Amino acid sequence: MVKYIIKRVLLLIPAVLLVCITVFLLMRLIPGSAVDAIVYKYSSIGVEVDEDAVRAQLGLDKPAAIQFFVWFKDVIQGNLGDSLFQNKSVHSILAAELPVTFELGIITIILSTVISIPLGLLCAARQDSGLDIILRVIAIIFLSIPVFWIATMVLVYPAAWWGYAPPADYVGFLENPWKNLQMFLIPALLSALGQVGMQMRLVRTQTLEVMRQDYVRTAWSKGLNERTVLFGYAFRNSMIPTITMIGGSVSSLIGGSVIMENLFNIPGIGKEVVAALSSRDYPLVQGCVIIFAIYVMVINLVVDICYKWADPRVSLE
Amino acid sequence: MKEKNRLRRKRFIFFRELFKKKTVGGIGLAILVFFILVAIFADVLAPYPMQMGVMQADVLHSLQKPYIFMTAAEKQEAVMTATSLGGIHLLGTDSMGRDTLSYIIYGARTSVILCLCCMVLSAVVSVIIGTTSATVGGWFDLVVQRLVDSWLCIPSMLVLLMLMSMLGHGMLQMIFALSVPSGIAGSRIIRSATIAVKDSGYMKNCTLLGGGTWWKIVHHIIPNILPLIITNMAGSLGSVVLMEASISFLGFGVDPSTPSWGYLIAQEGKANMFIAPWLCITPGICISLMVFGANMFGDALRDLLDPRLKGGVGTFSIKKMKKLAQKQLKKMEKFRAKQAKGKVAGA
Amino acid sequence: MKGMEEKNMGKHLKKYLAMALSVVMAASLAACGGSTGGAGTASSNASGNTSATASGTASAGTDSNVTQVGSELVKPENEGDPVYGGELTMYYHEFYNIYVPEMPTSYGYAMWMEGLWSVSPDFTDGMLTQDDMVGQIADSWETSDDYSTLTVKIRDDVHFQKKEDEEYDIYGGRLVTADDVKYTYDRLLGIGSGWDEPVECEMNWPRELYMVDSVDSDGAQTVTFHFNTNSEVAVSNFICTVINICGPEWDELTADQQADFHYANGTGPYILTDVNGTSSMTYEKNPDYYGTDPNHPENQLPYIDTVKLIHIDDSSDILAQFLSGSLDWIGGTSDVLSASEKAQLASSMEPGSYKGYSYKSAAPAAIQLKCNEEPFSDKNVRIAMQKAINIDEIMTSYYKQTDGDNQIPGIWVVNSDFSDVDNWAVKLADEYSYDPEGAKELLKEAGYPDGFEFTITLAPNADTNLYVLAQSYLAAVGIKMNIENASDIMETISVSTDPDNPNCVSGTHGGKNNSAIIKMTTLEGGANYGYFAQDTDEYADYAAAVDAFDTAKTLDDQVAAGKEMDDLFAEAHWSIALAATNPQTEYMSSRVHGYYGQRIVNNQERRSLVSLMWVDDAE
Repeated sequence: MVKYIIKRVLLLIPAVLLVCITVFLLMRLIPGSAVDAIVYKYSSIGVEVDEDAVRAQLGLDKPAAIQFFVWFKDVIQGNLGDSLFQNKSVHSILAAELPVTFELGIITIILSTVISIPLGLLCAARQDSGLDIILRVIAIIFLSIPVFWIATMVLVYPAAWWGYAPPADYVGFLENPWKNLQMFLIPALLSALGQVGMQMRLVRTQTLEVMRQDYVRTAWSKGLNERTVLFGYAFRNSMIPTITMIGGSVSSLIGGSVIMENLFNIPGIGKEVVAALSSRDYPLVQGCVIIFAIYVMVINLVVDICYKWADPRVSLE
Repeated sequence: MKEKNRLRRKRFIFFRELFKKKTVGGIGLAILVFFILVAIFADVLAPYPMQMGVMQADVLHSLQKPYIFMTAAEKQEAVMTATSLGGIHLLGTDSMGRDTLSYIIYGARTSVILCLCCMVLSAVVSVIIGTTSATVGGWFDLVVQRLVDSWLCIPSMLVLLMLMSMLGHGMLQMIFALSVPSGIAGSRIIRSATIAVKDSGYMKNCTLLGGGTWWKIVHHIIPNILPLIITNMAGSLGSVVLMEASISFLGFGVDPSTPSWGYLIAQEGKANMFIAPWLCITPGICISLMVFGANMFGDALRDLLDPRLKGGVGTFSIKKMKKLAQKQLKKMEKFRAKQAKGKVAGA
Repeated sequence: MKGMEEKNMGKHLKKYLAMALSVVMAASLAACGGSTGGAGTASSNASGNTSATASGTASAGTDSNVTQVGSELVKPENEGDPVYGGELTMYYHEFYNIYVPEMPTSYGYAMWMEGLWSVSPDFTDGMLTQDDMVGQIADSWETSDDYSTLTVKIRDDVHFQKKEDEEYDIYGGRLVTADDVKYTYDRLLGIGSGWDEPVECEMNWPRELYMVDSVDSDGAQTVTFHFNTNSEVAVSNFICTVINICGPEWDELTADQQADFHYANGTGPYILTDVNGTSSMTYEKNPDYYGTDPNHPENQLPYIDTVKLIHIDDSSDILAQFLSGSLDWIGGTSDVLSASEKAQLASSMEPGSYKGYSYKSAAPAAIQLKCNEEPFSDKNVRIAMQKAINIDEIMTSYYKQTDGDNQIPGIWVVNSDFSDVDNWAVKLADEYSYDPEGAKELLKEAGYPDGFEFTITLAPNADTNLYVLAQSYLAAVGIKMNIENASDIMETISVSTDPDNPNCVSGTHGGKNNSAIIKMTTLEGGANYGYFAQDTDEYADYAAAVDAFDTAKTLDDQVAAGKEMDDLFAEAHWSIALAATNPQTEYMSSRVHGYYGQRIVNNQERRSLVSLMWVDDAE
């Protein structure tokens, strides 16, 4: 197991390299915009700067390949450059914001798992009953509703009717856990909605699949009670594809967190990346994307390890 | 002729199956067809059609209540104050006095165009990447697959935002930004399916007979993986609608004069939630309906076209199981009783 | 006749089809009635018909819960006695994470920094001159008759902030002397106190303070500034430029320390205690602050213990926070809430639970034309475009400005910085009011009987709805306007300065607020800024006015030149106005007192205003 984890972590390195190349290529599709942005920034406060000087300062006057290696050398050393518009290094901005995004993601996954698995199991156990049908319809509705739509209504209507809005000012979890959770619970619940719909359906079908297997039939014939069969036999096996799906959905969860962070004023990377994109703060955008990519990779790694835990048949080699 | 009939019958069977066995999928298809028809006949259906490619604003009637929710007196007043630009708005107006119903209808056109274009383009991208990668193989496959892997690590929402902010706002940019990333993501499944086809006997035959890579892809691989391609295409429909709406909501979407449901929610609905809730609710329902239709149709299509991926069709009921268990127990008891009487050999 | 009938038939058919469609949608609407019922009732009260004056700024003048503040301040009588303590949460439009004293004046959140002068809280809109400045650290000042020296006597009770943590306490709470003032100006200009180069910073201070020759200090309380100009305007400009005072201790810090908010130090009423990225800043009261309340001279300022500035990106979140009472103040350089959101706020808040202050003078939105290009080089085309737009309708129906007080009796208003708004507008009102037929005639005369097509690039901060409205108005006279959204403000600038790009841009109407840019890009650099048809007589007059503005020796001359600039600008239709005024509103929770609708966002005057305010629930 340890060997496997070490191997996977080592494999992350070429993956990060490739992500860096991809991001670099994406950001260089339109060259010169960053230069314009800086020139404009200074000219708007009365400082005239030379375009070529800015280009040289950013290292944009060299050939693309050299630019990449210079930049990549810095990235490897953990230096993502300085933000163009905030008086800070990208590293320090992201270091402050990553825990926030991470917390939102974790709460979302926990909530969606806690809600969807019992409901999915319930649906499977009471297949084709009224409850099953109602829950399945709800799952489909959750899947189809655009999350930003519901989120906007959840944000504004309660404020008008009951004078309640989640706090707009971020407080660290260690500082004030209750206030922190107050801020995160509603957005996390909202971005978990779509996830719940998807997971519930998956848990249900997978459990049904497992229930048809011979060993479950054997369990029934042994005279075991329903609970033991459901949780001891079917649940664990139906979890395998569910874990894979949760892992696979992290990337799309980030999309949801971008919207939630912007709507609920959560100071995470999702909010930062939208602001950075609209002000063309290229180093910051690059940093955000790379951090997100590493985040997804790490989650995928964790999922693979969980996979092994859930299904001993899976060979790690 | 016979061939044609066979195809027709096959198609007929497909639709019969769809509506019979997968009723929800059938409903999904019906919803999609409904929206496509609305999109095609938008100019005819819209009570206030576009003029010179622009939705007609009538600021005098801004934020008017939906006609269908008006009281009798209000209706009368609306009819009285109607001008040449109109005064009767079935679903109300937005803050610029544009008819919501017309906007929704034209919004359907935007969504349908986006869906169809993205579906085709992303299928093309994924087939090109997937099949060439699998058939050429070797280091080419290795490099392409690693690039695809790293691409998949970047959240699609971010890629979309980055592309939109670099390419600028607009329909064409949107189609490109939506379909290329999803095409790259979809190429993995295409590749593995292609590899499965590639290893089959007739492909080896084809190679022996001197078939080139291109020939193999066009004449053997694509026809063989067509069901998978179609399933993929249908499966991506819902996410295209949702993504478009989300991106427009974040302000990176189509241009303001292009009607879009997501943009209507972000720009008008959000700003008028109390005084004009219809501006937020109607487009939201339309998005949900269309995504629902696309998802359900995609699921049904997958189940029908690709039985290997079938899931959750089997039935199972606890009552049955308990009955079965009791039967087994009874059998066992009988067996034991027989055993006790010494009637069974080998005891 | 028959054709007409058929047309009507077609129309009816369309209506029926639409009816069928809408029934489906209505059914689904009704289906989720459970969750939205409340909203429905709200809407029936507030917006049943558009002629009712139920919403927002429309009712500003008549509703008792909204104080109407135009260009004159209204001081309510029963504000009560100030109390100490409490917390105030304010919206702020942008954070820059910059804590150095040489920060540009546009970075307006410096509540811990102070200069010799600050903008008077009573300053409303108009041109900022030395008369609008009040002494902050400066106690009294005197200009020599030939405007060549300025002698400033500073207060003897101003201390730098004392920080609790010794590590960050660079000044130790010491007294501010004339030497510090001299040091501050010297380091910005690089002219003494050990500086031979200006301090490296974002701002081009030597250009801003072009008039300063040298600074003298007597070591105690008197500083003398020597100027190389003999102009009243220059002295006024000098006084109006707020420079944060610092001491030599600041430059002993490393660059990293200067970028750390813990070290931020000045003489202001509030101490910066916490910064949370780009989303919030927290200030605690400075207990050693020297200021006293002018209305209650025995009271030491500030009143409020904790002030929090919050930045929220999403306007519906801002609204929600204000409705729920977690936000006490909404306002900003430009309107944060849209016209409809303001109406929502008015319709869903209890009367008396908030105060709204509206301002009528702000730069009205406009289409900025590329007047060097066909077809805009023809003045008739520009007049036709202006005539195609019904500004009255926009003001009454879109901005919901029903009371005549708020609406300028004309077609537009330039930024009121110089212009004698009312007379000026009346002069042009009849000539260019809404007249689509006339516009068509003019277009025909100009050689465009079928209209033409052009594209406008919208800046990110532009009110898209207004331009969509304009699109519709222009379509009615045959002009097709395509709208493109720029990703950032940069793109708008590059579109407007690029001679090869035919797109017009969104912007504001009025000459003065662009004067710096105009000068930079048209007169000196000669770049194609695109606003002006440069070979016309009007342009020559305009250039002369701009020049007169820049070289004016006395304030009166400058104001006169400014007025002429604005008049010429509007008369030449270099841009097409879409609104008379952009009504702007600031909202304050009713638990906050001591605020009379002053524009507290301008530059760095916020600290002096906030220190004068107090909150209800203080213990």
